[in-house]
Amino acid sequence: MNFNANLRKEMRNPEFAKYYGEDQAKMELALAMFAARSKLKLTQGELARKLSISQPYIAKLEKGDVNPTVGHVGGLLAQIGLRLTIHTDDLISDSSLTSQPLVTCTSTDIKATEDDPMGGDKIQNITDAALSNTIS
Amino acid sequence: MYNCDYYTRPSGRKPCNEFIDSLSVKDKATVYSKINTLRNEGKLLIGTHVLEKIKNFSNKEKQDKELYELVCGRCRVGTHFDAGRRTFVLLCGWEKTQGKQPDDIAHCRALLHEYLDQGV
Repeated sequence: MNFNANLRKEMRNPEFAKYYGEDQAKMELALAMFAARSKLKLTQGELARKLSISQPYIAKLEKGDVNPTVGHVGGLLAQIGLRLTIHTDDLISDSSLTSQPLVTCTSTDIKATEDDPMGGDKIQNITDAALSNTIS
Repeated sequence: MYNCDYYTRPSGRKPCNEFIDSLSVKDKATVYSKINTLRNEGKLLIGTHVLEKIKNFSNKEKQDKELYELVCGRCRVGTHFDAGRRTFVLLCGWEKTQGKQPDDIAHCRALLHEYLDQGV
């Protein structure tokens, strides 16, 4: 039995699915944090100093070893000009079990303008687009 | 997207599969989740330290190519990356225990050599 078949079998256990979903969400966050740091070309130590947190905490975030609140992550990202975007998707999308994440977290630039110093227009546009997609 | 295959020994046993089956539900879910992430991201995980190269500290001249450990909480999965097939071969797994780790890694290395000798 291959990996896909094993995973599909295990997913029938709700307890397994719960823990699996938790770890996948933490890994999505870990990869988003790593990508954000790479984009800024900062070391973990440099980013830690910028955010006034410890370097080991950054390392844990990037390994998916911690379970921070969404607000905490949003606050950290905002300090480096990024915001957290989240969308949900089917965990198992089809019979071939292509690995769709339960929750995908990414970080996006917050573009501030003179009229909109917090970049609210962009956030509003994204929200409107998401709502219209949901409705249609 | 990469492939992840369990290594099957000449005897027919699958050490990694057997290890995962022996774990608690929580540890098993963590291992599956990390393998799934490995399948999606591949060697990008090295940057996050979820995937780490296994080094041969006893003989620095003789390093194994493409031998990695996947960090899954307190569990580890030894894996070899076959670039030609874009496949991670899951060799074996172990729980990280103080003092026992060198034996586990030696076992993983032996399985890698066994796999390479098969010339798959």
